Amino acid sequence: MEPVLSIKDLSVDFSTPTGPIHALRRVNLSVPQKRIVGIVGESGSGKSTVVSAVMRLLANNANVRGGEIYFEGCNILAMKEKELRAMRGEDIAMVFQDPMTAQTPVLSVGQQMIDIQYRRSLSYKEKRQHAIEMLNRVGIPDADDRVDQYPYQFSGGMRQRISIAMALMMNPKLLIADEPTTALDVTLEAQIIHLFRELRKTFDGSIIVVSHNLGLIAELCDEVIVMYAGEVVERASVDDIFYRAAHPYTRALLNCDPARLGELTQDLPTIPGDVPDLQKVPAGCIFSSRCAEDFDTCAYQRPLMAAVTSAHEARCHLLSND
Amino acid sequence: MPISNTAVITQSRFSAYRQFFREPLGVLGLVLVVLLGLGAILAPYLTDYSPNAIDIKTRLAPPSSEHWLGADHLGRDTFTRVLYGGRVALKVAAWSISLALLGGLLLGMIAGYGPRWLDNLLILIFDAVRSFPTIMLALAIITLTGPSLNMVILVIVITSIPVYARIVRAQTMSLRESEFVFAARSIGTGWFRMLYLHILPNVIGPLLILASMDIPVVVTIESGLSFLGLGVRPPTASWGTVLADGYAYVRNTPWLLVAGGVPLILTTLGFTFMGETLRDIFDPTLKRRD
Amino acid sequence: MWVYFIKRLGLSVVIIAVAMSILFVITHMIPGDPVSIALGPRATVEMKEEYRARMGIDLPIYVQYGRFVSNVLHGDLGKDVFSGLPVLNIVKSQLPHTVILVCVAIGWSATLGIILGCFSAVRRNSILDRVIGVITVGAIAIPSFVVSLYALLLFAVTLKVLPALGAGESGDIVDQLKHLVLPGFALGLGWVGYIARLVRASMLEVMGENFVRAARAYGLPERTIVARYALKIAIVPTVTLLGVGIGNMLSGALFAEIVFARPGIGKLIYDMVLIRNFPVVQGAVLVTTALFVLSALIADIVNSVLDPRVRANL
Repeated sequence: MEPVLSIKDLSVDFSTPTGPIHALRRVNLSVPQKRIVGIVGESGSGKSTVVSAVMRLLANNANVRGGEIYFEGCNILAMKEKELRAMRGEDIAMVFQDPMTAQTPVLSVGQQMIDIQYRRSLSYKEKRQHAIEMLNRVGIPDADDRVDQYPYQFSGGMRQRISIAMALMMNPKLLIADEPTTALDVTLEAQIIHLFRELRKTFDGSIIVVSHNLGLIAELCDEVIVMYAGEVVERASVDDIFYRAAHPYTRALLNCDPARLGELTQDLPTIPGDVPDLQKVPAGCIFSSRCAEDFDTCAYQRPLMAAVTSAHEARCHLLSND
Repeated sequence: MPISNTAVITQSRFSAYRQFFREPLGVLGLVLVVLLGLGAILAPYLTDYSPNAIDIKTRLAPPSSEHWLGADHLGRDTFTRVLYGGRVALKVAAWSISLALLGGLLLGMIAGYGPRWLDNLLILIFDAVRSFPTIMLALAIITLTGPSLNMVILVIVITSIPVYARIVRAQTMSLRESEFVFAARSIGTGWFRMLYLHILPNVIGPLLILASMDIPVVVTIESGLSFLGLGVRPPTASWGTVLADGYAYVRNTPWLLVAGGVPLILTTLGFTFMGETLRDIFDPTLKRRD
Repeated sequence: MWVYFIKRLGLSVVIIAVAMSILFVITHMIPGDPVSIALGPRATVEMKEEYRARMGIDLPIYVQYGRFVSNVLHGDLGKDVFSGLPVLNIVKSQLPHTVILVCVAIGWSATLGIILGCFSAVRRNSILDRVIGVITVGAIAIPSFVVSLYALLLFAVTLKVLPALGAGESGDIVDQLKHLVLPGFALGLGWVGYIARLVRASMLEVMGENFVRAARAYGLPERTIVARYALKIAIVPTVTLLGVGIGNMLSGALFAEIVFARPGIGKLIYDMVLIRNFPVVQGAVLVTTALFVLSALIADIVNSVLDPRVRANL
């Protein structure tokens, strides 16, 4: 089956007064139909940039240097404004990180949800009804009344649900959730996870979940893509990633999770060193300066993605040597 | 607003000068203002004519080498009258802004430090005074006193004090809450020191900006009232009276109107540029995103 | 929402009351004999006595204040010194002219200002933006009465394309409209500048907000986003500016009416000041002040409709 989304060799720079930042370098990833794919990485890894590129909502100083993003056979990067607008909200929809700023404060929630349906030739009443149904689906109580309320009258957790409802309104083929629980506390996060699981039963599109929260990824995703400093370093099923991680970065990342600690310690494990300066991208493997298992080739030759199994690959010289 | 700390303030004041001179518009504004000020102060040296010297022969003459901006309906040299008009503007601006600043400081501190009921009362009075269009209030008073530049200045001061006082009050109130003021008071720091060390450094920026934006308004009010014949008494030269003559003789010559209006425009431009630059320096959070 | 409205209305009434009292206090603090000043050096003793009696100047000040307040509450703003006509009627007869002028000025300047501001914000740093920037600075820099004078000079005297003076033939709408062009233009020009700049700044701020990005992500057309999602919020400071700026505009209208010899409150006040007809001046100033306070109130109410958070935060 054709993947829903196929990103090939995507490279994005950000121009700054001191020179361009090479934020994404030849990123390849694909999202299969009806699957939940997680993109995990720390801040600055480029994961948000990737999905912003998919929506063509990059910042003003961003430049796409190369690559293609295929969705239903068309290259999103080549689309004109009109086609993009037809696509956004309709075929691909996005849920943003901060629920408190995701809706406009001057229109009622219902009004905003009706606006999203502007492409449909339904009556006002029908659109409003659809909005109420969606609010019910995401678990907003008293949807009939609350649909006319303003965003400031809802709590953070509910506003994130509303964002999800808005994204799913047009039944898109791909839903992107960019750090959907990062701004919420743990109990709300659990509720959102539960909501996603419920929605999965009725939503037959694919979902991309972007997060730095390994727990969230583990709960929700079928497949995981690990990014570091603008590159994809590992891609595998969720089980393979968590139990049989092949890339040293992934392994180190998993080790840093306090939930994994086997015994009481004084210091939490960290990955020594810093993320490299992406204005001067070093030669060789991007992780080599912090890698515990590096050797001489790593410093001067960038590794290619090597297969661990047919559905699991990692960008590491350790794999090619075997 | 940052809690003041004298060492920090000294440093930021120094860099404020440097920042100001980096902005071309701000410098341009300053240049304009300085030129206008010099023109006003040095008026007797810049022209041989007296502003009230009548010479019927050159009545309504267009600009020439003898009369750089022409002459008015009584043959008086327009350029001279414009220069001397600048003196009136300068006098009005200087008096009204300084008195408004003083009054604003005083009342603002009282409102900020004093009991709640006093603060509420003062705010109410401020709002009420602010609800008079300044010119209207001036006209009402002038009806009773007759045309008088001093009355104009008084009215301007009365309607300006609330605006300055608000800024001082805000800073005073936020200071009231801060811990180190409590500490300072506990060792018996007098209110004058409090003012000088703690309140002034923080309000000086916004007050300067306000003054800078206010001066053209004040000068315009004086010109407007003098234009109506209700400000300076004739035959005193003021930009407003030059404009009034220009209006009366508009079908004879455009030059009087031009001569009266241009200094006003330049004053406004100059102080607006300066004020906006100052605002960018002292409050970068308000800076427009460009 | 009604609670907000009632509270604001109450506050406005109190402010008007205090303002009137302040005017009363100020006018009674003027040194010198107001009667001589009012009537001039040629006044005879009998005229002065009559004036004193009519104005009640001899009575103790608190009695005067009491009379003043009760009069105002009964709609009596005093009587014209010379004709004896009630001030309220005189003011009422002139008020519509000024209101029309101010409405015309606000109408065109707000519309143009908002459009220019939006364009500038949406096409930031383009040539259009910079040109608009320069024009607005220029528009702000010229005081409105100077604009009146220059407009008169340029269009009425030099080019002779528009009428100079008066309000036009009554009954002839076209003529009246022609007479509104120059004063309306002069009064509104500075405001176009202020409004365009304010709208530009507010729009830039709002367009950078997350919910605008989210709205784009939902595929909403840019037109909708700018007009309903962004502008609705960005316009709030402009509405406040207009509400508070009415005072300024009323002063400007005064000059416009005088320069263009139009009837109105401004011309009335000016004429009355010249003949020292204080009751009319006082009445007109009070009515103007009340208008000012009310317009600020209306601006607040409009804002509370535009942005529901305003209601919640009071």
